[in-house]
Amino acid sequence: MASEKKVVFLRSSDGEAFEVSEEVISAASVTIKGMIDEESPSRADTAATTTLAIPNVTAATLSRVLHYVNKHFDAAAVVGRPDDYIFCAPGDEHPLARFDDDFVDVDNDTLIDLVHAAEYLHIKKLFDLTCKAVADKLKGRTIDQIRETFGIVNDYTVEEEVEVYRENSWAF
Amino acid sequence: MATAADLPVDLVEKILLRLDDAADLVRASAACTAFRRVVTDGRFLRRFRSLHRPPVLGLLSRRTGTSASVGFRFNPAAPPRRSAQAARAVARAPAFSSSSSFLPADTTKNCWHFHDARDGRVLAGGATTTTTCFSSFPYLVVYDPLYHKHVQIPPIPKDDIVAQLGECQFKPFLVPAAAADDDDDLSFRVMCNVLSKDMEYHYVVETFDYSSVTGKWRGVASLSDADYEPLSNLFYYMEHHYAHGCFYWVDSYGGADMLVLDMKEMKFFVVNIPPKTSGNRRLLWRQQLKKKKKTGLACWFFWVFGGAADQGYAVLQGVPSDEYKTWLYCDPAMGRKTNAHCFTVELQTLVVEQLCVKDFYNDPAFLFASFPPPFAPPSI
Repeated sequence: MASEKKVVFLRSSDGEAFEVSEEVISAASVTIKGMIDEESPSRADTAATTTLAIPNVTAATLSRVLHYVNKHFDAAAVVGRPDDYIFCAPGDEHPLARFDDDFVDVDNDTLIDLVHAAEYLHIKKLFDLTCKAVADKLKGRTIDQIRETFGIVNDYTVEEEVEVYRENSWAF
Repeated sequence: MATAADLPVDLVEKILLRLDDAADLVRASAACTAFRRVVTDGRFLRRFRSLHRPPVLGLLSRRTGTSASVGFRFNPAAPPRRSAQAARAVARAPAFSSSSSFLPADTTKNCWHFHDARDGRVLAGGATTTTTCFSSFPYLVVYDPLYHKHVQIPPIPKDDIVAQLGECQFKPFLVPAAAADDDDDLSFRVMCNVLSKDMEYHYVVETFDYSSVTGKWRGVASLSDADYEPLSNLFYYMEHHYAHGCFYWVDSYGGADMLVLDMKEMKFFVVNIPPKTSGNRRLLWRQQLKKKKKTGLACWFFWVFGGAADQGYAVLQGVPSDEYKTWLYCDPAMGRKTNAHCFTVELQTLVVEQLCVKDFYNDPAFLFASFPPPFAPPSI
C-alpha cells in the first residue's frame, strides 16, 4: 500500500539487524540511498523487506548513527523541511545543538568509530559534527596529552623532534 | 575499536582542518610524523588558510629615526588575546628588530611614508624630502615583513597620465587579495590615484592598476571635479577602505560624502551619507564598550585603521581615565608620553577584544593579521 511506510533492515558487521524507515535513511545517507536504488527494481512488487549488509560498521556504532539520523529527521519533519533549513534567529541555539553536543560527548574510540561510520555511510552532517568533535579534543592540549588521548606513538627520531620544536618553539 | 592512530590520512586531514588556531595545529603536528606530513603539505595549508581567518597579530606603524633605521614599530597582540603567543614569535622577526631597516640602502630617500598594509604586505614610499612625498612618484616598495623581502614597483609612465597640468599628486594603495582575484600567493596588485588638472583647469583623479604578474601599470578609471566638486579636498584628506568589492574614500574630517570605486565596473561614484547613520553606528559601539566597564577608558577615538575593515575589524584607540588629564595637556615636545589602549571590534558580531597597549601617536597604524610562518607562505 502506498500509505504504508516502507522500512529496510541494516545488518551490522557483527550480524545485528536494525529496522529503519526507508524515507529517513535515504534522506540521510547517500551510501544507503544508492544501495536501495540498486535493489528497488527487483522488489517493486514484493512485500518482502530488504536487508542491507553494512560490513564496516559495528552494531554499537550503527545504533548510535540511527539514533542520530532519526532524531534529525524527526526535527526536520516538524517544520516540514530538511533540518539544514530550520530557521534560527542570530544568537538562538539550533534546536538540535544540545542533542548534538551530548551525542559526541563520548569516549575517543567511540567517536573515531562514528567518524568512520559517517564517512562510509556518507552522512555529511554527522561527519562534520564528529570531525569537529575530534578537533575540539585537540584544542589547547600539550603534545603529550594529544598522544595520550589518541593512543599515538611518538615515531620521531630525536633529531627530527628537536627540529620540529626549534621551528615552532612559539607554539609550545 | 579504532584509535586516531589508525585513521587514514584523508580523515586526519579533515579533522585537522577544523582546528582554527595555528598553535593547536603545530602541537598536533608534533605528535607524530603522519600528522606532520599532513600539516606541512602545501595543499592542506592553502585549504586551512581559505577556511580560517588569519589571527590579528598586532599593529604596524612606522618607526621614525635616522634614515638608516627607518623601519617598523610592531605592537604585538597581548594576552589574554589568543593570538598573543604567535604574535610574540612574529615580533622576533628581523623586520621588527630596532637595529634593522627594511629598506634598500638608499641614503637619498630621507622621507618614508607607509601607504598601506594588508595580506602580510606593506606598501611604503620613499622620497628625498617631506615635501616631495606625494608630489612626485615615490620610490615605491612592497615589503613582506615576515620574510624580510621587498620588491620595487616601477613608476607610472608619464605619458600614460592624461591630465598633466600643474603638479601630479600620487596616492598608492594595495588591492586586497580578496579583490585581486588570483590563487597565486605571490602575486599582488597595487593601485595608485593620481591627482592633477586637465586643460580646462578641472581637477582630475586618474586611477592606475599595477599587476606583479605583468609588471605594468594601466589606467583603469578617472573622475573629474566637473562631476564631483570637492574632489581635490577628498584626495588630500581621505583615508581609503575596502569592503564588498569596492574601495571607499571617506573624508576624515567628517564630510558627508564618500567616494566609491567599484572594482568590477572600474567606475567611480559618489555616495552621500546621511549624517545620522554614522552617529547611530558609533552609539552602538559605545554601548558595546560600556558593557566592558573594566576597560575604564574615559575617551574614545573611533578610528578605523587602514586595512582593518576588509579584514573584518575596526580598531579603536582609547586613553585610560586616570591618564586622561595627562593626555589632554601632554606636549610631545616635552617628552611626555601617554599610553593608548587598542581594541578590535569584530564588525559582524561587535565583539570587543583587547589588542595591545602602545604609545599614543598620530602616525597611522595598520592592523597586521597573518598566520605565523610556516603557515603563511612568502607573499611576494
